[in-house]
Amino acid sequence: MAPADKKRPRGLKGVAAQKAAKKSKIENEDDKTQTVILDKEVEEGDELGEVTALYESAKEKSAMGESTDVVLPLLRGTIHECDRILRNWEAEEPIPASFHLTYGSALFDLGTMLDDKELNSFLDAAKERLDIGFDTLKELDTLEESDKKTESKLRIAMAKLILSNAREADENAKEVHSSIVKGLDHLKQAVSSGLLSADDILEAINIAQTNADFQDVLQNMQPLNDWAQEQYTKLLNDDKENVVALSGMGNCHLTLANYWLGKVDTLDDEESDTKTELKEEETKAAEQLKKGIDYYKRVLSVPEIDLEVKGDNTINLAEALINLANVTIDEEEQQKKYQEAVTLLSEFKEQTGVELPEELDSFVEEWNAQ
Amino acid sequence: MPAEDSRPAKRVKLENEDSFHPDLLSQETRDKIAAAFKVSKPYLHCKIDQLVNDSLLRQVRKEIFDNLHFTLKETDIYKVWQTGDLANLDGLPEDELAKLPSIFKLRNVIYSQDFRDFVSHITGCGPLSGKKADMSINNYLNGCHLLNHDDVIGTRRVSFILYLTDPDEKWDPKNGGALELYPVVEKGTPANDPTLIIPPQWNQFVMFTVQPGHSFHSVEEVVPVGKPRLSISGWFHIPQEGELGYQEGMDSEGPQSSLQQLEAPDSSEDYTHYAEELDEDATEGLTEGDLKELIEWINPQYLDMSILSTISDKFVEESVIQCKEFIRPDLAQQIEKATLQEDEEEGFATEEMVPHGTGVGNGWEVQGPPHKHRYMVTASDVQPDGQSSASLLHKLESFFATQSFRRWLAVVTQLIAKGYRGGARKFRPGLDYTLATQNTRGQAILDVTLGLSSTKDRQAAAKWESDEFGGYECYMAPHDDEEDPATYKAADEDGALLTLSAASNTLSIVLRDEGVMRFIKYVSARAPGCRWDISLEYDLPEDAEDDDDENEGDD
Repeated sequence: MAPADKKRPRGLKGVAAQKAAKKSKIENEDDKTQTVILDKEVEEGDELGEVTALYESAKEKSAMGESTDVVLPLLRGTIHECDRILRNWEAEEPIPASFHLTYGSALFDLGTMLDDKELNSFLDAAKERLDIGFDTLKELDTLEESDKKTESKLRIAMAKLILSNAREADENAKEVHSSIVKGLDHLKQAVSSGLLSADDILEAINIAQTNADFQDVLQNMQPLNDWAQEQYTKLLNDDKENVVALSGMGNCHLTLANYWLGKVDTLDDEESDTKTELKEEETKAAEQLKKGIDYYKRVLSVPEIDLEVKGDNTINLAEALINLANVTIDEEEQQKKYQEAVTLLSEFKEQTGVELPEELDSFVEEWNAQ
Repeated sequence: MPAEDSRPAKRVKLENEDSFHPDLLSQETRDKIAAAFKVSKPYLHCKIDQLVNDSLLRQVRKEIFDNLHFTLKETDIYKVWQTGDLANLDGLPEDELAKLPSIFKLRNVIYSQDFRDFVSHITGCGPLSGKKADMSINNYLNGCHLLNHDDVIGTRRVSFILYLTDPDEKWDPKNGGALELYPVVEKGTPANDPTLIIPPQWNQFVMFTVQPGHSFHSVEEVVPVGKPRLSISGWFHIPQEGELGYQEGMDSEGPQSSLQQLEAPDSSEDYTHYAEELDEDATEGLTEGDLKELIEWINPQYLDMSILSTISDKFVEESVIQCKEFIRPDLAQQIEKATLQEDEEEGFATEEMVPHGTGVGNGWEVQGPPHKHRYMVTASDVQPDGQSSASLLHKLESFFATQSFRRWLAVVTQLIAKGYRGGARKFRPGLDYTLATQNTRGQAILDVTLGLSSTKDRQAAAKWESDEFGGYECYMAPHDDEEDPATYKAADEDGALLTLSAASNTLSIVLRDEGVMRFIKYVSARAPGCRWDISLEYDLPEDAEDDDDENEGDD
């Protein structure tokens, strides 16, 4: 080596300074680096376990209603770790399907939390990951129970993704219906595997119900809503105080009620001063609203429900009462229902101090001002 | 009736008189102490056996142990447990101050006008500041010590120490902890050993005028566990602005402290230069002649080019390398036998304090001055071919100056040395050390140290490895210029670049760049034996710095 190219020692101070500069550069480049304490037990060195635990942590916090400031970094961290594991994977056997499930789920969740314009690229990436998960399972000679469980969870994740796509598509497009059928099929297969936990089953049913609520076309809404009702009913047969199932049933009826209310032609009402009878859609809506009200009241009568459940169901019940009052001909009955809604909301606010949604708050104020 | 002017003068009760030992502040006592002060040696000082009211001081001791928190502070020059500065007592919250009434009183008593007048009268040092209280509580536990220095920092005028050892158990001088006062060989250069040793005792008070270049002293290590040497030490400062006797500009002037004196610049003239030039291609490999010479004393594995290449790569990357089992086993064994035997014979393996002067002779002499370092070097008349430790190390030392070793160094470090200095050293437990000195050469220096601290068993080796008994070499990053030299770094501050424990048959090579400080930590009386080594510094060509700068962009 020519002398000009020779590397020389820097000296102790020079070496220390260079190490400090490198450390500072890494810290500056990765300002969002965060140490996360996982509250799940993971074996040391189990990277796959750790990344799953990290994603589970994000999911839990999201379910608890934590803000995006808390959840987003965890999701980003999950994706970052997944990228790193992928890059450094040197083992002969392929990365397990459960890894792709975690990766794909995190991509999907992150996409739905960010700007709409980024959603599609995240959904595409998530789908790719979930597809690889399915392919990985197909490559296996035999499927252990854990693999089958992973497959069921992959189906739920895929259903979420497909149904989300269906929401974004033009509602008249044929693709929407086939997506719904496909998504629902995934959910059905997942639940019928018998390998999912109660929470996972509830998640699957809730996915169906939530997505049903987004659909304005009956043939797209009904398959999802009907299946969700069927599943909630099964759960209630085992436990009639299953609060999630009771709420879910209430929501199913509310979804149908909203569908029928959405079909009411309001122009007809303007032609007549007094209303003497309900339209067909209003009648159907009223029928669903009464059933929904019944389920919400059953939730609220279950002892020791937590505040979030109480809040959600109080609001749903109040909305249902107001909507039912709106399609009630008899004025006295109508006023009773409005009053019932107002009393319900006022008592809830007084007992819990929880702020009501703006439109309900205004309704209560206006009513009390009469 | 007697005339008014024949009545005896009414004795004026002095401020805080009751806080002192009876009659301390009387004219008779003052004059007696002042007279003794004037003739004191090795420099002006006085010792008062009982300073303070005994009950008050017992209260102070109780308050200290009940309420105050000590922090261990350790640097090259001391190891001591300290509380905060007592001058800051006024700033404490009321509830905390309420727990320290006696300490508060004692502080005020010491800085009272009457006591300052007392001190001024005895020392003849002129007025002293009542505004600038400067005292702290120190607890010397086992292993604690304070090495040689002259206290010349800032505006200090009189140093004092009030001892609070156990009031009910007389301090045994064998425990160590004595205040040691040193005469000077010439102004600014203390003698190697103290001539006055004052063991601590309950309520004893010692003070001396801070004299640049004269008031050198140290605190002997406290050896045993469970014998705390508690003291309150501090300084009276020159009058501050607004006080009687204040002179403008006096606080900014001042002679260099002993600390500052240690930092005189270094130059190439301080090294022995090689007679021959060495080409850059010497970094490529060793000649036949080199190998033939080196194999006489170096372990053959360190002459294998593939091993040298690996070592060299590591050194170029880290600027430090250690080579274990460096010298040939038969030679290492000889040295081990001689050094262990000598440690045994001279009483260095007993974990007790040895008197100053121990170890002198047998080919070893003390190298001072102690405000910079104290250790032993081989005497000029050492027998060249003897079997004593001095002879063996003296011979080994000469190999480090050869051209063949110079070329070996070139291969390992990729640097061409042009001169060298240093040699064999012996650091005695309880006595020896070097204080931190900075590389002021203007460029990097190559430090090459062969550790030869053998141990008789694993337990002894573990003691060295723990660094709890000193004897380690420490490299520190240079301190900021803004730092008050009177402020020492706390033990837990991260200033150390590298620490190398005392070891056996291990060669350490370090490239010490400009400004980096290093020292050999004082060897505790409880160390397993002497730290033995051969330590050389190699001077490098003036353009070595430019080459380093070019390579900084490589990574």
